[in-house]
Amino acid sequence: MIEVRNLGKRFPKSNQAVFSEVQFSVPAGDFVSILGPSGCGKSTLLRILAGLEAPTHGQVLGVDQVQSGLVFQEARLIPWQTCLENVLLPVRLRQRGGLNEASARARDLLTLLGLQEKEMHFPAELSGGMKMRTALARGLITSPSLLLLDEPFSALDEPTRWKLQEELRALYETQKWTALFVTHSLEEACFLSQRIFIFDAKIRNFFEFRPDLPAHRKASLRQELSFFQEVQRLRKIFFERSFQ
Amino acid sequence: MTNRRPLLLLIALLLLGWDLLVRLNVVGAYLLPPPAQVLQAFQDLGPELWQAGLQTLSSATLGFLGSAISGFILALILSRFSALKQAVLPVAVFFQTVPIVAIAPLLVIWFGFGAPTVRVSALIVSFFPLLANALVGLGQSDPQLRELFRVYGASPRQILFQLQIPSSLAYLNAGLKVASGLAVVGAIVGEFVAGGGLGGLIDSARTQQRVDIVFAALFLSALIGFFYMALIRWGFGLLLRHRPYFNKDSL
Ligand SMILES: Nc1ncnc2c1ncn2[C@@H]1O[C@H](COP(=O)(O)OP(=O)(O)OP(=O)(O)O)[C@@H](O)[C@H]1O
Ligand SMILES: [Mg+2]
Repeated sequence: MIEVRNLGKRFPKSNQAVFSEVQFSVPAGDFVSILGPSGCGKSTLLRILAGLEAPTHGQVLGVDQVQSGLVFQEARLIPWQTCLENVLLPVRLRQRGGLNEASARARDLLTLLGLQEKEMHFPAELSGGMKMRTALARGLITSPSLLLLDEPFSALDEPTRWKLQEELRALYETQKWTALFVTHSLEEACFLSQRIFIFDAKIRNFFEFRPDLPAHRKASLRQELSFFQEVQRLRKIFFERSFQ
Repeated sequence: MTNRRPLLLLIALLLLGWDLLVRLNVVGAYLLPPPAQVLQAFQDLGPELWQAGLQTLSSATLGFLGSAISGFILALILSRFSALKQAVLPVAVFFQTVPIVAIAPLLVIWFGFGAPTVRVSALIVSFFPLLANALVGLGQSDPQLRELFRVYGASPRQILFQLQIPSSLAYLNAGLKVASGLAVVGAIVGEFVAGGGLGGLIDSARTQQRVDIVFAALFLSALIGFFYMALIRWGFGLLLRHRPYFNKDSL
């Protein structure tokens, strides 16, 4: 369970807070998406949770940095290391557990994400989607209990996005970590998550939306009427409250 | 593979032009000996010339190794402690601006005539370029990757070895190349005042008006520079064969 209490952030440069009094809790094993207009502080929130930024006030409870993985908006791979070595970076840096055992797990992850042929490739030799998959595998290699993702698929074309969403959801359904997933895509948020935190422009805070969709989600869900309806419902609320 | 033909052609043309210059009496042979005469000097002096070349090679190499290793270590230390860097760097820049020719006589007083002075001279001249390049290289690693390392709790040591040093290779390469050339310069300047090696040879040939020997010695010193370049290229080439993407800009 993650609890965010009265969280506020103001950067020294600006006199207005990005957000203040943000309050929410995420039960362990939930997949939560975060939606909001550009500049509302989604990345900042995620960076605070990841320990990369200190909040101005308030607190975050239940986040163990060592037990969490972070996937950035860009793949952020090390150019001179192979796909496999990039995936193993967190293990090497934290020096926890044997590298051999981790390599086996990394290979499993890469296979799951369709990258088994590419493990010896360097990032420059991978497509954008493959780089993102590698970054995803790197985020998962430590078997985190919390995964923080900041618009990881935003730079990809739509079919690749769908594919990765399905792969991510499938991984989530088997491994059941907690996920906080920042996105700009309403379909993506609906497809992936049980709960969606939407930024309310008036109160500069987040409110919750729960798509009414089955627990098990696969590609075919996108064709179903219920999915369309939920996206539509979300769209209406989103445009009413997130933009002024 | 790079195409060597244009280079060989240029060299042939330069040699031809040089030969013609002397043959047509544009420049007197006592000022500019024709290529054949320089070749003759190599033959006449033979072992003596090679001996001098080896001596210079050895002094320059020791000076270069000394400056490369100490410069790199100092760069590591300075990049870790920014306060120290702010104190040391201006001083280093100041010493860098003092010409070696002015220091060389002082070195003779301190280290006597002979090889030690020459080595120190080579070291001093080649020290700064490597330090400066390494410092820039170590400081310019991708901030986004640094953040990634921070997320995963990397220690300063891990950041240094797994991020900063690999990201600085192109700079180290450039620094080493400049430093190796300067080490030869430093060695020869040192030999002017301390004797021995190609510098000593040039100095005595000058007093005897033996321009051909001066030229032969110059060629040998250039050869030493080329040798270093080739060695550095080869070393980095080896590294890049297994790790082709060490830096976006080519090494
Ligand atoms: N390091 C910083 N210094 C000063 N201001 C910052 C800094 N980082 C972010 N901000 C400001 O904080 C606000 C929120 O930025 P943030 O990156 O969290 O937005 P976001 O919701 O992720 O937007 P997007 O959807 O475009 O990624 C912006 O107004 C931004 O200018
Ligand atoms: Mg953002």
